[in-house]
Amino acid sequence: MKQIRLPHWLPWLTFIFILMGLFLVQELRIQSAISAASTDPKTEVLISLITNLESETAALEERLATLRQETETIISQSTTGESQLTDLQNQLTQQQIRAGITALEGPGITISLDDNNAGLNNAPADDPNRYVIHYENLLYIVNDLRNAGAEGISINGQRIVVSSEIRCVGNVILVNTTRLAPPYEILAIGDPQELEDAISTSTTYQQLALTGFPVSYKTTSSRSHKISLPAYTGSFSTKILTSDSQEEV
Amino acid sequence: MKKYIHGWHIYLAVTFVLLGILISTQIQTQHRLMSDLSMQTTSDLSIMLKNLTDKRWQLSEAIDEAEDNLITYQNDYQNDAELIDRINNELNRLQLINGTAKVHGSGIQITVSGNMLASDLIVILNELWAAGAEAVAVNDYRITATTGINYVDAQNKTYLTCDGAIIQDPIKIRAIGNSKILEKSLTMPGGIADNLSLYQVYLHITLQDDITLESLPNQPQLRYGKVPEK
Repeated sequence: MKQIRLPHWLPWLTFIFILMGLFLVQELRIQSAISAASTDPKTEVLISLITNLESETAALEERLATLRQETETIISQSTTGESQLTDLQNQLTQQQIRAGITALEGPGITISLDDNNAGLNNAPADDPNRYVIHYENLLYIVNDLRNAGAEGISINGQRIVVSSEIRCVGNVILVNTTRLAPPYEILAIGDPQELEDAISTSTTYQQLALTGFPVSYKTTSSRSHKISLPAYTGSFSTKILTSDSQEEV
Repeated sequence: MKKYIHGWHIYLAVTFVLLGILISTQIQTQHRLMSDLSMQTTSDLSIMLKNLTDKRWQLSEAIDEAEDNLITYQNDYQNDAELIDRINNELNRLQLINGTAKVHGSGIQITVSGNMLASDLIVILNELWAAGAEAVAVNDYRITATTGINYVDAQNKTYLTCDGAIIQDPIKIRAIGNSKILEKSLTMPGGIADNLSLYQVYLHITLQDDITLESLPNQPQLRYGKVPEK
């Protein structure tokens, strides 16, 4: 019986067709997901409502920040020379700084965290969730920085205040109800050495670094390099909260 | 033996390069889509919408108050009494927020049984703030913007700490806010309470009409941060 000789290129061609097949299946899945998402009228309405509200709240935040600043200027002008007012104004400023509604600058640390896109490229079949930064990563790093005495923290321009939440809805990370996208830049003001020690020994940071996430940090080395944190532009809810002393009066 | 480059070698190489480019583009698209709004479920979008609506109302209220304040300052700043009154009001409000004043209001009390980790406590506190808590304390320790959760070993036992202060068992977390919303945020199916129960950590939640949270006196002065000069 005569043996059939296969051409050299046949195994290669087979391999390519297999890859193509996988690729097409994946592509079809994405396309169907996109069309399912975009053809759902309810989803479309929700998205347009969300984007409208996002620009509206951004404008409101800006307005609130301007009002706070104008008020601050007037108070500082009107209280000069009157000791009782000056004293009150100083106390107010102290509380405003503590609440995070003023900008803050000083020495500290900058931490950059990004999704592991290279890792996902190398293992396309793997679960993509293993290659993205999760809200818990940010939450635990913020706690590590607080343990190291951070006086102020921000993530991608969102100042972290007492009531700031870091959460995810679906695959989106939200801080102060504002959507954030990678890469994440965490800024913290405090003793640069202590903050550095906290990050270099942080379980969360180490784990990200060891699993190939592009992460890095940098402390301010000289006095000329300062970390600048923006003021918190949102509001604080005090609907239910009442002062204990107010009712006694 | 001499090796030749055949025509099909070149075609094959070109095909592989193209395939590589296609795959990497696809992965990037997929990745971008994952965090795009159109790829989120309707219920996730509804949650985002609700949060944003709440935020808009809060901002509107804060703006009304700030405008009111500003007008008073602009017109009546000769009137010291009213000015002092306004500043005092704002000062009191900030003290409630910052934990420098004792506060009370309705809310929930969570008694924890089992071995809770620092990461669990961090997640619970975060969830309470996300659910609109206005003030939170762990045992009697008032949580502020700078509070760090950690561990310490003492008397052959590991304790949770808030800013280094030991949190003794039983751990009681108390939060002032809308008690129903606060409770629901922890007890929803697949939520934190469900998750912790897998590790034999149980949250006993009671709704309370009046909770008093102590202030946190002697909060450290800022040593590094300064308000930038205008």
